[in-house]
Order: sequence, then structure tokens, then C-alpha cells
Amino acid sequence: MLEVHGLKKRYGRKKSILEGVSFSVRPDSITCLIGLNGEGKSTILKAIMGLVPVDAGTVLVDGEVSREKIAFVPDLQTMPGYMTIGDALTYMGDYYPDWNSKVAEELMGLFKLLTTDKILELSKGNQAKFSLVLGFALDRQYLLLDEPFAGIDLFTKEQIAWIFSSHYMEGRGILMTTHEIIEIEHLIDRVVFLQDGRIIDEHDTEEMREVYGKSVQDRMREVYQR
Amino acid sequence: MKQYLMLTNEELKRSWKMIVSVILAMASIEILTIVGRVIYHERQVKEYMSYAKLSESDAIETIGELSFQQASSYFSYVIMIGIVLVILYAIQIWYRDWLGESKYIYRLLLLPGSRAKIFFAKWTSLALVIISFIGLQWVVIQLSYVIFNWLIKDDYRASSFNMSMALKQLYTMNVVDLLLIVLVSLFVVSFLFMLVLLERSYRKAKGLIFIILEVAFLLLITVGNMYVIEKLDIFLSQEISAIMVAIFVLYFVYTIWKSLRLLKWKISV
Amino acid sequence: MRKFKFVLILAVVSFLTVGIYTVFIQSIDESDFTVETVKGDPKQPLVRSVQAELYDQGLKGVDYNVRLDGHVEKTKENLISGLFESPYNENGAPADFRRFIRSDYVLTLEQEGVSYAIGTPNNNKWELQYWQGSKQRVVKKMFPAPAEAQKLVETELNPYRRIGNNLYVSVQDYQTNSGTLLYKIDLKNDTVQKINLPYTSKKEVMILGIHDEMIVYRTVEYLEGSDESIEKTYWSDGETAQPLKALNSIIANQTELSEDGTKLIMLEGDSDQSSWIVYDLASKKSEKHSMDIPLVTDKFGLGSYTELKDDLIYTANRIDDGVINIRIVDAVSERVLYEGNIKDKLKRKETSLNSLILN
Repeated sequence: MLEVHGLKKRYGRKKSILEGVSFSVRPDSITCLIGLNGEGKSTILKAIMGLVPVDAGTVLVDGEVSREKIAFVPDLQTMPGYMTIGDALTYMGDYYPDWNSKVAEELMGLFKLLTTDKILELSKGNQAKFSLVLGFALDRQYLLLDEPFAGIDLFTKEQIAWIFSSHYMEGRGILMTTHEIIEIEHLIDRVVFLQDGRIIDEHDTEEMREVYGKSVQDRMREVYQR
Repeated sequence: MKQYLMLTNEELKRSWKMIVSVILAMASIEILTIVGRVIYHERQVKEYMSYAKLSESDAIETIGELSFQQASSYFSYVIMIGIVLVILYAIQIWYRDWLGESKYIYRLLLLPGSRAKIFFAKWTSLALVIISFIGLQWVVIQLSYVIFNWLIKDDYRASSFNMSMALKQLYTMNVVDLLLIVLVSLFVVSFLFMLVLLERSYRKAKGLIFIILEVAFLLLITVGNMYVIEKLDIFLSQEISAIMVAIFVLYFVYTIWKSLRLLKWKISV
Repeated sequence: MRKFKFVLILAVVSFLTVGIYTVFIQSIDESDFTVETVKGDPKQPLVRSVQAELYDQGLKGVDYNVRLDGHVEKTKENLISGLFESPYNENGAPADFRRFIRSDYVLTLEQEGVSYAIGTPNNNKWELQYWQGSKQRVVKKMFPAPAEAQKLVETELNPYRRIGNNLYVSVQDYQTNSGTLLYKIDLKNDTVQKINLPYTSKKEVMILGIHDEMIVYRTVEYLEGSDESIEKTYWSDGETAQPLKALNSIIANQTELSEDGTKLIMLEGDSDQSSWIVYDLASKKSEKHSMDIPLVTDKFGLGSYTELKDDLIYTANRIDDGVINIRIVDAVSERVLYEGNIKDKLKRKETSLNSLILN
């Protein structure tokens, strides 16, 4: 289990980004972090990966402090501008002992990406798919995705959504932030609602539907229009 | 270790075009100044000959022979430009990972293992560039000397190889001095790295404040130290030198330690 | 290997180019000195005490210390050695002596292997320390400042010479350089005695020699409102002083009283030949002496050094590329006690004579 305890982050005395955020992500499930823009969703993911400093809080994976069991897919490109997809894949293989080049190859085929393509010359949709490859081809149990659907076309969204119900998901715990609830509501296992830097609500989606008869969208409206 | 070397290679790979261009440009400019000086000197002699109606040897005696020392006098300007470029590289080597279409800093910070290798990869890149520049500059000096001798007419040349005062400071014919120069250069690089990492770890105003504090700290150490030594007035000159060397080493280590700490705990994408 | 391509390229470039530089450094010639004796015995103690200091003005700044027995000491300085070099008058001295002589107010005298240092921090007490080369022990003495010396504003104590058990110290106000007083410190009995110098008030005074309580000294008086000065030389027994008028017009680089106290030897400056004057104090007659030395200055205009010590004239002169002629001559009799040539096998033009060191 990926556990986040008491994340706090402030800028100066007044601006508080995160106020004691705690939640957990189970393996073999998809958890969605929901919140309005600028609420700190992205910051939480980055904080978990050590990309931004926090004032307090811990992150545990199966009881240990270890970032190397979590893979991160940010919402922007991270490879040097001159690189082709092939260069990037070689890079990952060079630096990551848990890189799975077989999975990478398979996904490349499925997404119809070529190793000779220059990453920054790809369409937004292809760039997003490529970022996913970099995340999924690491043999790590937990995967964080920051806005994987942002600004891409419908067709690509479907391709990406497909991967969440494929065998590549086996045993993995996913934490993602997104606005696009509609396309993937049927895939999400758990939602966490964030507002003003705090977790204000947490539900299993199934429980929400069966017990309360509400969809995630309904619940969102309720929560954010208070 | 292997990843550190690979990262260093990656840094150099990204800057390779720039590095080679600068080297070629500097070398070309320097050789051109030599050629230019020789030609200009020859023209001066010829013009004076016709103006004052003297023989070639008399004209040379009045105007004076051209020595390699004089002909290479522009080299120090080119070297200074080179130094500025290296300083800019030391800063750019970090900022380029945050700016632009892709943010490589994410990738670097997400790499498994210690973040120290990120720092040392960039540090080593600077070190290799600095040493290469110093060595290549020497080769260019020698090459220019050959070209100088080949180009200039025998009578016009003042004999023997000598360098300008500025060049002699850098090339003191002593390898120990060279090591010292490289060491001091790497200290400057480490200090710059620390300031950059400070700025990248804290937002805007806070970052600037910390930078100012660090600079103030450095000034406090150097000036304060000299003041204390003078006031106490009990140290022999060798002891003073030893104290200053020790403080330099300690501060050098401090800049690296602080940089590594910032990179590990405080850096922000 | 391909993964380290650029690292390797730069590493190789660095190594090769710095290697080329190192090879170049090694290829620069260094002088190879031998000493050829023309006259006299190089094993005489007075010859053994002489060293010629030669500086290399070329790219590699090597310093050579050549002894007349042929032994050459080379020193190459780098930035580090420059930092840790000790000031010239500290050689091997014990730590507390070295701290003492660091002070601005302490002046030193080296004589026959003993270093004397004296100064007064506050015009109240005089502090004297001396140290002998062979022993590490420093002798420290304190004296209450004599009355007349306390009247000076900024007192500077200058150890002049030790004669027998007495250390002669001249005292003056270092702001105005005037009001010189002469004291004799008896090192055995720890007493300080003032020695009278007539005609010295308000003038600069230079002691030229002391022998058997007779003192030869020169006064310099600056005329108001001009650069000109009047110099007068006196010979005194502490009560009366005889003006030595004949000497007032002689310009000398160095003046010393002879060992037996009967003559003044004055080395003349800036003439192409080595010349000096011997003045007999009793008969008031002066004799001019000179030596012909075929001096050829180097391209820096250097190449000659002459010093008078213990009635002997030590002179070194460059006579050709890489050849320095050294002579030791008795100032009174003009007898050449030693002559030798330091020769550089490579005849390098870059080495120039800086000075002679007489121990």
C-alpha cells in the first residue's frame, strides 16, 4: 500500500498549499485525486516523488520510505529536446534497473510510435502516449499520473483509457489527477476530493454508486458547490 | 559510478556543438590576430621606408622588430572572453534543465540512487571543459608561434619565444601552478552552482535573499578573517598562509556540501 | 564505451594538451654552472662563505645559488611555495624569536651567525632578543629606557654592531630621522651606556665605524625649502669630535672603518671600473684604488655587484654571456686574494647576476 501521511506545504506564513493531506492507494486499484484547478493536486504528486520539498509529512510504500517503488508520469516532457523516442528508451534502460524493454516494445507497437520520431515533434496525443510508455514499462507497483488526459483528442483518450483495463494494470496501484472524469469514471475504484489543500472527502466509487446512488460527477458537483 | 559518468557524458553531449564552436572560434580569432599583426607590422615598415626614404634595415631599426610577445598581445582578451563563456556555461548547465519545452530536471531528480551524481556530472563537465580550454590554449599558442615564424620575414622578427605578461601569469612553466588555477576555477564553479541551486530551491524573493546571505557569509569569512588576524598580530606569515588555505578548503567543501543538501532536500521543479 | 564518448574525448584532449605543456616545460634549458679558479685557493674560509645569487629571467624563473666550490642550488618557485616562504631573516629561528621580529618596531642585525633583535614598544622599556645559529635558545633581556631616549616621540632602535661584549645601538625618532643617540649595551653586565656624539642634534646620523671607543660618523643636514643637504664626517672619542673635511665631497656607496680602526674604506659608486678610496685617519691622506674589470652588462643592464666587508672587497661582474668573474681583493693592499669565473656551459643570456651573499 502507498500511504501518504500529513503532507504540509506552505509558502511563507499566509499561503498554504497543503494542510495535512493523508490518504492511501491500494495495489490493483485506480485512485483519482479530484480538485479544482490550482488546489494542489499536482503538488501532491510531485511531493510524493520528491520533486518539490514539503514542510511536513511522510510517504510510505508497504511500510518503507522508498520512492523507487513508484513510477511517475508528469504532464510535460522530461527528456532532453534533441532525443528521439529510441534515444529515450535507451536512456531509461541505461539508468533504471527495473526497466522492462519488452513491455516498452509492446506498448510502442500498440500506440503506433516509432523509435525514430523526435519526441518534441510529436503531436500532443503521441507525446502523452509516449509518457505513458515511460511509466508503464517500469516494473514498479505504483504509478502516479499527472493529468494524463489533459488537452488531447478523443481518439487518443480512448487508447489511453484502454490501457487502464488491460493486463498491464495487473497488481498495480494507480494514483492519478484529472478533470476528465467522464471517460474513465467506469475505471476508477476510489476518489479523493481535495479543496483548499485538504482532503474533504474520500469514497470507493462502487460504494458511492450502490449505496448513495450517485456518480462521481454528481458527487463532485455536490462537493464543490458548497 | 557508471551512472555518474553517463550523466557527465549526457551533459557534454548536449553542449558539444557549443563547446567545439567556441574552441574553433577562439583559436581562429587568435591565429587571425597573429597574422594581422605580422602583416600590419610589415606594412608599417614599408610605409615608413617610402615616407622617410630609408632603407629597409634603417626603417626596421626605427620602428622596431616585431616579437611574438607583441604579436600575441590580443590573446589575453580572447582568454577573458573564454572565461566569461565558461562562467555562463556553469549557470546555463543548470537553468537549461528547467527552461524550454521539456524539463529534464524532472528526469534527473527521478533517477534512482543518490542525487549527488547529478551535481558531480555537471561539475565534472565544467572541470573537463576548463582543463581542455587551458590545454588547448597552450597548443594554440605554440601553433601561432609556428605560424608567426613562418609568416614573418627574418629581419622583421625579434628573436626567441616569449609571452606577454598576462599569458605568463597563466602559463608559469610550473605544473603545480596549473593545478592551483584549475582548483580555484572549480571553486568558483562550485560557488556558482550553490547560488543557482539556492535560487532554484526557494521562490523569487526568498531565493534572492538567501543568495545575498550566502555572498555576505563569504565576505564575512574572508574579510572578517583578515581583520582578526591583523588585530591579534601573533601569527607568522607562514601560519597566516596556512590559515587562509585551510579556510579556503573548508569553504570549498561547504559549497559542495550545501549544494548537495539543497539538491537532495530543497530543490523544486 | 560509446556511452562515455564525450567524456573520453575531453579527458584525452585534456591529458594530451597538458602533456604537451609539461614536455615543453621540461625542454626549457636550465643553466649548468661550473666554477673555474683563476687565482687563490677556493678552500679558504673567506671564499667558502661566498655565494652568487643568479636569477633566470627567462620563462622558467629558476634561481641559482652558486658557491665558489662549484655547488649549485636551484630553486623554482611556484604559487604554493610563495605562500609558505618565510621572510629572509627568519631562517631556522626559534618560534618566539620569529614572532618578536614580526613587530614593526623591532629591527635586526645579523653578525657572525648571531641574530640580534631590539625594539621598544612603548618607549618605556627596551626589549632585546638574540639567538645563535647553532643553538635554539633565545636570550631575552629587558632594559628600562634611558632618560634621553624617552624624550623622543617615535623611538626606533637600530642595532649597529656587536664589538666584544658590547652591542652598539643607535636610537632615533623615525618620523623625523633626527636626534640620533648612540648607546652601548654591555651584554655581560646588562648595562646601557650613552655615548656622546657631538654636532648631531637635529641632523640625520649614520655610524660609519666604531673601534676602541672611537666613532666615525656622518651627519646629514637638509636645507630648508630645498632638496639639498650638507654632509659632514666626524671622528670622535665620545667627548670631542674632529671634522674630516676631506671626506665631505666623496660620494660613496659603502663606507667602512678598517678592522684596525686606522682607515676609512669607501667604495665608490657608478663607475665602470671597481674603484675605492682608502683614507688614513691619522695622516688625513686619501689613496685612490681601482681595478679594471671588463664588465659587459646583460640586456637588462645588470651584471655587477660589489660589497665591502671586513676590509675585503667582494666583487662579481658579468664579463660575457653566462660568465661571471668574481674577485676578492684586500682593500688596503690591493692584493687579489681570490679570483674565479662562474661559467654556464650553455652560455644562456637569460641568467643575470642579482647579488653576492657573504655569510
